Amino acid sequence: MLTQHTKLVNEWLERYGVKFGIYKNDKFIEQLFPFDAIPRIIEADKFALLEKGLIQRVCALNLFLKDIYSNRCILRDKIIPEEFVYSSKGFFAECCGITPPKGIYSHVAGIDLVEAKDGWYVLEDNLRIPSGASYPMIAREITRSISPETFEKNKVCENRNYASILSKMLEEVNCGGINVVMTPGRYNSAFFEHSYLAEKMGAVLAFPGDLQVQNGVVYYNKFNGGKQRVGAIYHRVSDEYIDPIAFQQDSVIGVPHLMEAYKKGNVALVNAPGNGIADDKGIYYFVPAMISYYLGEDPILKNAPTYLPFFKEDEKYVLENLEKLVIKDVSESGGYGVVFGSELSKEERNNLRNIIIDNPRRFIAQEVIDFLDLMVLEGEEAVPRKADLRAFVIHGKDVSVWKSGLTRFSRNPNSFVVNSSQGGGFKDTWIISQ
Amino acid sequence: MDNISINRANYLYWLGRYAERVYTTISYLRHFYDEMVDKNPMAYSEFCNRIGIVNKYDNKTDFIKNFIYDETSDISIAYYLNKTYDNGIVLRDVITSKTLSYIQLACNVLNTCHNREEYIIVNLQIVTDHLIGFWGAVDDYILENNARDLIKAGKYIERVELYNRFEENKDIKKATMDRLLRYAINLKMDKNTFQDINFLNITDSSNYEYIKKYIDELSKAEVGQ
Repeated sequence: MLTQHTKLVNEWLERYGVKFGIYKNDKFIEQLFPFDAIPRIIEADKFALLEKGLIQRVCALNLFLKDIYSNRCILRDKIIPEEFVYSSKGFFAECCGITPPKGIYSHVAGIDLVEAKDGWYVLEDNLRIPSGASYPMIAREITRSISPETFEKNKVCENRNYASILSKMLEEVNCGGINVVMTPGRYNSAFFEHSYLAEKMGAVLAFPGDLQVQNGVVYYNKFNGGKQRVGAIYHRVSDEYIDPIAFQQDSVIGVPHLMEAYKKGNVALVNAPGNGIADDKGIYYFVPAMISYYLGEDPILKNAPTYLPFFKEDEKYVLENLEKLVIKDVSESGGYGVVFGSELSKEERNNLRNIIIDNPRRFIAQEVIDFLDLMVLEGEEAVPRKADLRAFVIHGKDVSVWKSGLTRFSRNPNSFVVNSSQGGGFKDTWIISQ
Repeated sequence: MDNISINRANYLYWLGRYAERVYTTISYLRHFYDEMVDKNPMAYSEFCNRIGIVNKYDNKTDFIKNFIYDETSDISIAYYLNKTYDNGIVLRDVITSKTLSYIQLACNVLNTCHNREEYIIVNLQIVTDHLIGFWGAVDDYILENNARDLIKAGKYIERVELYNRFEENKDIKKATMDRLLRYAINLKMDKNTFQDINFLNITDSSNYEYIKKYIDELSKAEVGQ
């Protein structure tokens, strides 16, 4: 039984350096990401519906990005308020008028969901640099080797193929040259993933300084004086840092003139710069409307009931019901900037009310979804804990959902926050094939 | 393939040097420790002299504890091993996860011993075993010839350096230098590249002849330099 081998699996994960980095008191610390051997299991029929809903959502988000950086029809038709888009930190005016290779913006999407009694709810769309796929990839490889009988008996869809799905997508958008994974470096929290994916994809891992743009073409500089043309960059560097000429001028982890090469169509950037507008927590509110607007379909997946204090009516509701809502700062991620109204003192709630009144665009409020617990091993005992699912949707020539995913759980019995940076652990996600 | 930047060439080279520093230092340490047991409790003093560090240790117990396990000091096995890890961790895609795992396993041994306060020399055999696994993995799993040659060049430069310090016999030194030469020549690097990765600290020439000259000089160097 796999569950008897949790300790052994974690030892193997340690052997392979499966870690994530966090900064504590300005010091970088690498931590192991605790693995729980009880998998999340999704039956084939349930997954089929989830898959359909995820593909629908990512297609709509891709069309939204294409629209917002070209004709902006959705703003003209007043589906989304104009000022809501232009005030977002994720909107990059520099990207207007640029059409990425094959018209694809959202190549790798990480959609965060929770399962409640009445089905799946989407909590967040991550369309910039979603991380986490490497953990179930390597965990499955290890668990298969430690407990082969588990996978002989259960009809679990294999998840070996993530690297090949990514490689295929990169090949499809490649503008001529090698594929590289661009990392900001070892002290990034997701560095394990950058290096592991590069290894599994057979792509070159490029560090700051390894890439150079000459005459609008990107090259990888080799140590013996040669250079290799780069056709696609799976960048794991935040958009604002990828090119100090175009964006953040003091960035030392970017490639000068990279945007120039991108504009000329000489290199594909995965994901496209400027995607932050689509995973703005405020824009999330409008995704069901986007699906209807661009696809003419009803959304298959539900959003968590969400309120935008930006709208007066919603603001009134939020201010009156703060104690039963969860408030999210749209500019934060990784579980930071999330406040449960019920956990605040009266004084803290009053302070938050004032902050919301002063800056309503900065926040969204959501009803707390009582999502289903998953069982987690604590020593010998299985205990219920809150857990979410990050599903990975890859958009190349076709759009597909990886038949696996990262299930994160809270180790604290009273917490809904599952992020690794907040002390959570992870599970494998099994999609049952029949 | 063979897409290696200057930065990464530097990491590969130092990965080889630090891994070898741990490996060969441990093998000499074992010899000196054996003397400390029943022949000369102060033998660590000569060991310090040979590797060129200040003898700041109170006694042999203090020496064993700190020279092996004190990772806050830049002259300890733990420090050298952490530097090996630091250089390896950024090379996963080149050297493979399997190769890197042997360095992680070696680090785990020292960490576990340190946490349990088990300051005994025999534990170092497990570190040695993992390093031998690492070198086997370097040969077996690394596909890029330049990557392997850079690591091996670093390895044999470090070994030559330590063999000189400990006055290893001439035949062994010569065999080591022959290997170093083989890997260095394979790399076919020009003068600028040598400078960029600080290879051999060469500053004013290139290729075979210069490496040969460097190695000749190294072989004549006196102990402790």
